[in-house]
Amino acid sequence: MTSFHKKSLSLSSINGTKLKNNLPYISSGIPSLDFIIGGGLPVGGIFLVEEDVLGSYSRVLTKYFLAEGVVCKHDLFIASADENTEEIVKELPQVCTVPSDEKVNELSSSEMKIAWRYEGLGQVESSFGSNANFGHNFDLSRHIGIDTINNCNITHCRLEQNENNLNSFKNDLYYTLLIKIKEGLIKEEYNINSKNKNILRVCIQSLGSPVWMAMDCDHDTNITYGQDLLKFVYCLRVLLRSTNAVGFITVPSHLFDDDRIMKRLLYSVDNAVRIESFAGSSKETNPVYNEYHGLFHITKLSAVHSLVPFIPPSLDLAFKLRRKKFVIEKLHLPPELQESSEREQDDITAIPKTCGGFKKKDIDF
Amino acid sequence: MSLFKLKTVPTLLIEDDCNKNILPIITELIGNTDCILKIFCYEQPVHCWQSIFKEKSIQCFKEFQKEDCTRITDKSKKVICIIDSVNQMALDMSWDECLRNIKNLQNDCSIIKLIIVLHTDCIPNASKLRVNLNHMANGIITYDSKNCYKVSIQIKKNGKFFKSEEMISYDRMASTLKLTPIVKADKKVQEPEKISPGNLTTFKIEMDQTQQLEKHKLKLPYMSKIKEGQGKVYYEPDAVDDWDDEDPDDDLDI
Repeated sequence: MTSFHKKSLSLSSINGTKLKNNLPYISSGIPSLDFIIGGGLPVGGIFLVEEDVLGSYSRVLTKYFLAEGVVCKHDLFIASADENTEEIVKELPQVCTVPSDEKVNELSSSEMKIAWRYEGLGQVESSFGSNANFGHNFDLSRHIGIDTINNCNITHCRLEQNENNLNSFKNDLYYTLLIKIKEGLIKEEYNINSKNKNILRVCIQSLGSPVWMAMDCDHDTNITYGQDLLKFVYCLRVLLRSTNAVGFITVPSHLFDDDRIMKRLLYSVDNAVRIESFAGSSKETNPVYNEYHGLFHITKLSAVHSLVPFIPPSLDLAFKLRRKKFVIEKLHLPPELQESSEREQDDITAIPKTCGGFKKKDIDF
Repeated sequence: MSLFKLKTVPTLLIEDDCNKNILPIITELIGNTDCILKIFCYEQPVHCWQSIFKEKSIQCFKEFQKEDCTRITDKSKKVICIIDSVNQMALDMSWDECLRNIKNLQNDCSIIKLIIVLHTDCIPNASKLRVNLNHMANGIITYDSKNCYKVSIQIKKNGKFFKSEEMISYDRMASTLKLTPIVKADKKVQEPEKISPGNLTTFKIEMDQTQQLEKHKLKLPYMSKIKEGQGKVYYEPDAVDDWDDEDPDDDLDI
């Protein structure tokens, strides 16, 4: 008798990962972000964040990603051409002590005395992933101690321009970074078939910032603009694909004057999101958004080991940053309590001009 | 207020065009510090700057050289750098190199202030230069192209934007500069009153404290049985039950 057996690769579980479709996933450090992109970041893939204009929220995302790695004892690889990566590591947030779920109990304990029909409806949940036990919440006001950081395996990559340019990239920075990442990946732990596995979190901060792109700007023609960047991300994807590494890239896409670059970049990454902060925009004072700090757009979700990508519960997402939590929520409009004159049914009574129509006020009861 | 804020900004970009005099604002921003001034003069001749800042220790360079940056005699003194103008600098070297040098100046911890002058009417490399500089600067002063006295100020700090439009006035006798914010004709968008649901109804919808207490005291007949665990109320939706998802006034035809 034959029977069908699922071919399992005998994946020994790695700390801080979970399996989905037989593929390990790691947490981004934000439970609600993990939820909306389908359970986390697939190992061997690239996650791209389009930065907000001031870059402050994307920085927070980067810190969460790295801090989660420290908590799960993953190895880190941090690269930046703009700032000192050691400064970023110094400011990593400490993990929150798990808040007791008293609040949840409190809500469910108040049973209904009348109107039972609504009892089974359940609470409206606008924030996601609050009950998942994957990933951690972090306290931004407290930093991870220097001893813990020193115990971690962190590779810093401070990119400086040097002149010898003997590769296919115009800007030498890209080549240097690729080589550095390749060297980092040689370790046996990152091989998917090895026994003693660990995850490498590769974080590239502000890829495509002026420092990266300036060389493309010297020509008036736009043909070469962004070519290096596209090539780099493509190469990076190939490098990471069959390893236990995850790429986390932030890109200041608002600086690109050709939005096709961003669209082409999306083809070379697995998941991508865009942060739109309200700081400095007209939306800052809009009462509709006053509960949130910005909008959260999902720009790409790929179908890894499946036919269709994960479908998030909503695409109208907004985020707010709390001291102990970065929450992504379904964007709710505030309740309409006002009796405004612009309601639809009022309009109908106001303009029955044709066919001898009369206005409501013409009739006197 | 905004002048004080501008003085604390580490990287300041001044965007002007021809017919603008930015000297008053630069002298005001530098003030009476005992910092060393380093000026990379691409436009005005060196002696021009020297005559402006007579009392200060000033170093002028005709062109930007990497060595000039590191060549500081007194390490304890802080440095203020001025680039006049970045347009010429970008033409002189490549934009890539220019940017890298600005970046280095920014990262140099002995430099407390970097002032970059950009002429918006003759920017090489299309618009990218301006976009990139705007991204890198912490504060931007943009001169209005029509009104010489009008500037718009943008300061980025701690993840927040501060924006304002101001008029410059310069007192020649006291040689002091003043910035007065342009107060826009107040539209007085009347803050709509907080509407509570209680005001919308013709009856009293809210409960006061005594009523709330009374409500809790009230014993519903079936609750005692439920509490004992003997009974349970089952709710079965009726066939004609509607879930209030349609407009109840649908049939009114108004």
